[in-house]
Amino acid sequence: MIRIAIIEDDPLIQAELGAAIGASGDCAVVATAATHADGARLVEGGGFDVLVCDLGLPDGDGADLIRRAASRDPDADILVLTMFADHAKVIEAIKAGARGYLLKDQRLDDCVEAIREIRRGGSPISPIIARILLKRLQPAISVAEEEERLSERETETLRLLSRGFTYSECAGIMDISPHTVGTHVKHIYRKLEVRSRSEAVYEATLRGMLDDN
Amino acid sequence: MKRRFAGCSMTIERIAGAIFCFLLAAAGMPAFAAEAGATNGFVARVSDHGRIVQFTDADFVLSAQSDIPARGWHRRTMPQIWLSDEARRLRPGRLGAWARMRFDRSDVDGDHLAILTENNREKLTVYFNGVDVYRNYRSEAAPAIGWNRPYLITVPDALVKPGVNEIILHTASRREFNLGVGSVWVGPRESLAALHADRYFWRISGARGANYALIFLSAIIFVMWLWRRKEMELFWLAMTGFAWFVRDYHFFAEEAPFDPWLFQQITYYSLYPAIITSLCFCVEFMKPRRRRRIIGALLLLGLSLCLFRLFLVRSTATDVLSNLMTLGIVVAMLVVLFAAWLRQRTIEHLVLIGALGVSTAFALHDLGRVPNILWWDGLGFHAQPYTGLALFTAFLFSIGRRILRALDVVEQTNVELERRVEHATQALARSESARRRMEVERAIDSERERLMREMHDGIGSNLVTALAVARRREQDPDTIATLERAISDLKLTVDSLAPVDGDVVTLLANLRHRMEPDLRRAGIALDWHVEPCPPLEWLDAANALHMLRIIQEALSNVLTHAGATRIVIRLSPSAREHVAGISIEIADDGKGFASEESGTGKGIANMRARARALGGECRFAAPAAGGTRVSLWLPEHRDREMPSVR
Repeated sequence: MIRIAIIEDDPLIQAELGAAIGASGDCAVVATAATHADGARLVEGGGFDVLVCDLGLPDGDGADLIRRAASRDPDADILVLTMFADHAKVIEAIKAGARGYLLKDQRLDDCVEAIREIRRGGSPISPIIARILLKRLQPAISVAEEEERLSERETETLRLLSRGFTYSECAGIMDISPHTVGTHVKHIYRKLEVRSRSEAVYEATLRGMLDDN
Repeated sequence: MKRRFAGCSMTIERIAGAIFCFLLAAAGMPAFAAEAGATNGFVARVSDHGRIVQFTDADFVLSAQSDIPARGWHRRTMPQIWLSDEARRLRPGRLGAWARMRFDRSDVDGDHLAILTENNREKLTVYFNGVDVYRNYRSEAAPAIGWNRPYLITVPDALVKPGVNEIILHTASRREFNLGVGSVWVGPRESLAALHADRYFWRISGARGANYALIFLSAIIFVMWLWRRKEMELFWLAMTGFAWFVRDYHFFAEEAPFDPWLFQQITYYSLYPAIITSLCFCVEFMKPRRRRRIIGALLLLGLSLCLFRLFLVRSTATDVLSNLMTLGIVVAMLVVLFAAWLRQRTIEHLVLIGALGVSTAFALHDLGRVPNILWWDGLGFHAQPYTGLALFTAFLFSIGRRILRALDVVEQTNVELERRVEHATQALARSESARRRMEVERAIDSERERLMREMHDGIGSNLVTALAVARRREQDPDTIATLERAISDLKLTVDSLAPVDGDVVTLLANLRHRMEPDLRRAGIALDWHVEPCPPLEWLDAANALHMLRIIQEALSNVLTHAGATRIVIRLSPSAREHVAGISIEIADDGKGFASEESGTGKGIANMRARARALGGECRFAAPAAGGTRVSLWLPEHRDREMPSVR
């Protein structure tokens, strides 16, 4: 049984999603919150395998909750709930610690399948996001840590995905299983998160140094 | 000028004559030696105006008496240019010598006679047949300098007798100076005047001209140095000129300018400063390693040479030892400078070395013809008065060349600087325009962000809620489909705003990604064939949306009307009428064109219009195998004038 927590301010969407998950048989909603404050308590309480979190909460930023959840329990999978899966929002969420996204207008059965997939270790990605990540992560800074650098396979995966091939087509071309493609994407997301964190540290250090002067 | 050229040719003649004379003297048998007692020995030479006679012996009396001696004459070879030591030994007081030469009128040609004599020290009186015909001094007290000056003495015709005539020379000087009787010629006036002019030029007027030029130039250089004190080359150059002028003054002076003894001492000692300053200049100019030390050592050497001469030699004459020491220093310096030249091979350095070498040769030449040494007569005059100017000129040439070269460098530096300024200006302009471009881009980005937020929080949010409500209440499928279409149209807009830098493949791929669930649900398989395509730099957000709408329209038509089971999408580079571009092809296996409902007619027209607006073309075809093929061609480059479609 996959334990799911939902943080979403629109009650209708929350209800729809909750109902679909409840009906799936292998998933259960264990907690819900509609505000940032409640969401923070929900994240503190823990006890979920998957967190589905909206970014635009009425009293705060969902990315902040994602960041807390990711640092509190690295084993939990976080999905960001988004209207359009536009690159800005998704990448912001992934940097915070999310590993995938659900579209608010997605058919409910697709949503449940996406949750199952992420539990299996695979993450979704759109070609536009793949292209942006390719551009952002590929110029391997020589000093970058191993965990921030894309492997050759990951680079190849991103290149194929950015050119519109589906996971199974990529798998065929690269001679791996479709599931491995999803795993690569999940790892890529992790590298983006690590790098953005070290960049933040670097920038903070820099700012600190500048302030000292 | 003419006279000078004549002088040159005569000089060569003189050298030959001198060598000839030297050989005869060595052989010990004067060619036309006259009978002893009656006339004196001579050599004769035929000039343009007749025979000239030069005496090879004379009858001498070493005495300072003021009248012609009546007896005591003894014969000696001529000339006797160094009698100082003998005369001093003989008796105290002033030094004096009498020399008597007799010749037969018939041995000498010419209607009018003249006497030419040179190398007499110092006061000279000439008698012809007992009559005093010439003195080179104004009064007994006047300090005449006669040793280097040739004298031309016109003999009054009335004094000349047929048969034997007599010339008597009387030379005198103070005890501390020197005594000598030089060469004597007698012959036609015209010939001797020409010979005199030649001698006079090289010994006196040439030397005087050279040295006044030297002091004048040195003064200018010295003033230049005052303006720019750190140019020590200029200082040493001016010093070189001054020192050589002082050294050379006695060559062309008629009288000592001040106390004769002091003048003589200054003349002797000034040779060392002249040589040392010349060498200092060379060192300063060539800048060998440790040049300050070398200059210091040179100055010390100069001082010690002076002291050496003062305490050890104590001579009023030129001594071989200190001169050879001086020459040794010059040669040592030549070696040092040659080593410097090996490191830095420039013409200037070579000229300096050459000038020093020539000066050394001059010095050797002069040393050999000093009266008390007399190894040779050489050119017939001292070369030293020209050494200073020769060195100075070479030095000036070198400095001039170096300055001109420096000007070249300055010029090149200026050109280079201008080039760099130009470069920097361009770079600045470039970075300025880049900055402006970035500002514009940032403005566009922030506008995009605003639009997205608007769509999320406004329309998007409401549409999603409405869709959720419609689905829950199981509303009319058309309502749901309309809401879904509205949302997917918004997604298209969102995608068109993504920063993909005109990458058509990614845009198209994202559209596929978006429509994948719909296609799957409709049971339509999709063949995806994309080749790498160049980015379309003109494909901004508005144009991208147009392109996406064309493709979406095509795919929607297949989904809703065609009843197809398979769609093939191809994306590849493709030139059309020699214009580079890309081609997007969507082919299905559905019912095909002919059976399309009227509603799609408007859709097709829209697609064509959009394609034209993009500068491309949209074609529709119904292949024989069935289905429909829509192909969209877009150019790789677009005229800048073509406005972006809004």
